Amino acid sequence: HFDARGRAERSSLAAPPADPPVTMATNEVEEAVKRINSHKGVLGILIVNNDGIPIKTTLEPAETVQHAALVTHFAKKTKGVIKALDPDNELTFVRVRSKKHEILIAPDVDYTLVVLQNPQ
Amino acid sequence: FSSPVVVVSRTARRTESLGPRRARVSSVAMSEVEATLQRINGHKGVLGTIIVNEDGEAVRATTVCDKNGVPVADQNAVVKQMADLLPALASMARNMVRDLDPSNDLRFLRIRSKDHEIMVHADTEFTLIVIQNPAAAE
Repeated sequence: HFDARGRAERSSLAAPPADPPVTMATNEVEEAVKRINSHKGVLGILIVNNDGIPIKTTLEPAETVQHAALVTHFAKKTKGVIKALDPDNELTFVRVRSKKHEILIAPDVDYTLVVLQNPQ
Repeated sequence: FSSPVVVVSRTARRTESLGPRRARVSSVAMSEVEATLQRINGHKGVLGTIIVNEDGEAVRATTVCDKNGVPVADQNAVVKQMADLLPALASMARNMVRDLDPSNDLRFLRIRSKDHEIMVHADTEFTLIVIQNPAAAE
């Protein structure tokens, strides 16, 4: 397909294939999880996707499901608050400190990393 | 971040039985509040502090600045917005903590974003909100 100037118009045939989504190599993920998990005080790590489905966890299954649901919901609300305060701003990190431990939430585009640690 | 502000003790409240809600606080307690607020606000990197009462009204607020130290254009709007949104978020955080473990309780909430870090301490009577430069935490 060419327009009047002879330049190729965008078409699914002419356009280059879309870049494949950036995925960390599995072993990189494993390395990162291992590294975080080996920190003193870390009780567990959980990685959830945008639907709140846990895709990596060092917690027990029951804990995983519970945390995935509650933390994802809370992270969404927090994101909403930050956006409501200023649409140009972006949430980068949340720390929920409780009596017994601390929940660290690091949201990213496709995944959210959740770490449970004993506060020192 | 130092220990939470104990702004009004239950006994101070009881001594004032008449007058509008805000006047319940004794003048001695209020000057302690002021002093503490100034101390917190004087910390390097702090962009603003807000105290919200249990009715969701901001009872004390220092000038809220952006991360470059420039006061935000509409102070009232930003204070009101934070007073509306943050105590509710802290409640949600508390519920999440309690749902995960009924014997646990929320102590503190830190929300870090590109432009600032908001720290929230919520108890039954007041919510203390401190806004600081995200780099100040380093």
